[in-house]
Amino acid sequence: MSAAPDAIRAALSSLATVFAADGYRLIVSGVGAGRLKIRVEAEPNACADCLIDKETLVGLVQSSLPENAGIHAIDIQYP
Amino acid sequence: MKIAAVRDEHEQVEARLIQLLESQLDSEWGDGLPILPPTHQSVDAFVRHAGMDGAHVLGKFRPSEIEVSVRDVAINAIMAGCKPGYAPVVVAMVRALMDEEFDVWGVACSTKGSAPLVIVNGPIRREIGINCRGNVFGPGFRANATIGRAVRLMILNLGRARPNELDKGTLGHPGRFSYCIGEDEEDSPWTPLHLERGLKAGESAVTVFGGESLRLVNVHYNSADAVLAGIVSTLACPGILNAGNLTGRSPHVLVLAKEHRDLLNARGWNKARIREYVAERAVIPEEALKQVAGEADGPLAVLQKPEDLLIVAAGGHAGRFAAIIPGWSWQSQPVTVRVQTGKQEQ
Amino acid sequence: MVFELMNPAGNVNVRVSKVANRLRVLKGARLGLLDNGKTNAAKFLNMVADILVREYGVGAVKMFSKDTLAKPASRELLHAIIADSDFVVTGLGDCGSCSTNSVHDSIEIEKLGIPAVAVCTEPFLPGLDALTRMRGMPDYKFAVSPHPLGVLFDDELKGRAQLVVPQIVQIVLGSAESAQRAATTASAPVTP
Repeated sequence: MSAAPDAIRAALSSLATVFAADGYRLIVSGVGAGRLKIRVEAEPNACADCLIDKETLVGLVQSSLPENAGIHAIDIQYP
Repeated sequence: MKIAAVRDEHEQVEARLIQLLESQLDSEWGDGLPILPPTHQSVDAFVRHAGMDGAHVLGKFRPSEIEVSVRDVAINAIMAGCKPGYAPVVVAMVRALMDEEFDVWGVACSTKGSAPLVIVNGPIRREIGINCRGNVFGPGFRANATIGRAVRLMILNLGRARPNELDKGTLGHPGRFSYCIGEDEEDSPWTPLHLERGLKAGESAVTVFGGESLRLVNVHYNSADAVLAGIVSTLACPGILNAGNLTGRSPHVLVLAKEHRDLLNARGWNKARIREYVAERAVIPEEALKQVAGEADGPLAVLQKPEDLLIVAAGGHAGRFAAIIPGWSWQSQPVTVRVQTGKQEQ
Repeated sequence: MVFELMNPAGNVNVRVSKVANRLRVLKGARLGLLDNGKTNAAKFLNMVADILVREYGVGAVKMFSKDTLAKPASRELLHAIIADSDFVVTGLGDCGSCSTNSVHDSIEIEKLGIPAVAVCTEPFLPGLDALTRMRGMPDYKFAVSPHPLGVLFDDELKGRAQLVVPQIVQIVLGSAESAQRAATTASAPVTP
């Protein structure tokens, strides 16, 4: 069973502050059947060059999730 | 009341199943087609047929360098739609893909957008229903379609090469969905591919070759020389060679269907003779090379040596067609692995 | 009804590495600087180098530049750096992509055998902690400055340089004693 969306949001909250510093919102848009969906949205002041690349973000998210989160696939949507 | 309740329950189960399949279809990690959900039962059955422990590590899959276990392979193969009985072929195929000589990273991620062509030889073809005849390149045959597809799912999930992320293919090609054929050994007068490459009669094997999409050789004139001329001119095509670049001077595959095969065989041609002849004559003239490369040091032979042309007897029994499949690069060499059945030493 | 499906993506077995051996002394050590091309990165790194030379007796200083801001440094560049350095300072990591790349480069240099300290700003710490785990070097330490950094004027930049140098010294020498020395030295008057 996958962890609940709120638990995942809590685990990723500090990563979300990292993105906020560059003008992006990191949003957990869905969790189910082991699949985690994340959406990154740009605020008006967002810095294009500052955005961490997708491959790294997948790894950072994996490293931030607790062991028992039951997530085996991470889909990320960039602006 | 009771009937309505049962109908409701059925609808709920249906809805859940569809939701599951739909969410996987939306994933960036899929190939764009629906999968068979990899449940424990189906995966365990596949692992049993592989004859090894599910946790046994087969090697590292690039570009991710993830260590791939028999179970990892089973999960992807089941998702692709493979039957558990295909396991020995799939395992041999994965071993071949992970061989450094093959360079799956280059084949999967280069802008040239090539795909591993899987060629199956030996008795295993009959046992699992690999098509070697009409429409050998598809569609219509589960073994071919799903074993070929398992390649792509593994490149995506285990290699972590997603299109337009690590996989920089400019155009890609349809073979990247599935590219798996068997050799028509029963009808062919010539030595099967795997025996030429060192295996023994009675053994089964998988050969992987990093290739572009196929170019049809379309020669209907009733002459062996005409067929050979068609093959030579299809190979020696300046627009596809890219001599000065990493992606030139690659190995090639020639697939000969029955009518061309019989015509050549009747005039005394066999695989070795065809190779020698074609290697010598498939040469791009200097002027033509200059047009596409800007400069040239003289004419250029497309094949570096005769052995760089793999010849496979496959295809339908009616139709005067052959196919040329250029390779990704001289950096990727075809790799042949024996298919092992039954319980294995690990 | 729950459908329990197996994971097709395999497991990334991250090999955990230790950081490179620490330096015993800074005096005479060769310093390599890796400039990632961010605004004022080269200027700031030079300010850091000046302090290290004047106050800690660091020897030769060599500047290296990355031409790709948002990507990791090439293997060739990393090898060129370690050939001429005993320790390295990389920067600036004052945004998401540059901080993750600076830390990534520094970890790769540590794997090649010498200490490498990335200079990054505070908001990016959580991502960088996750990154060190992801790259298999959870013990990796980097220098932290308040945010922002690269956009500051010279006098403020100098102040930040003075703030990070003691951290760099502590990390490169790696002992409590050196931390004490670093703290003392940082508060001593700067002799021009």
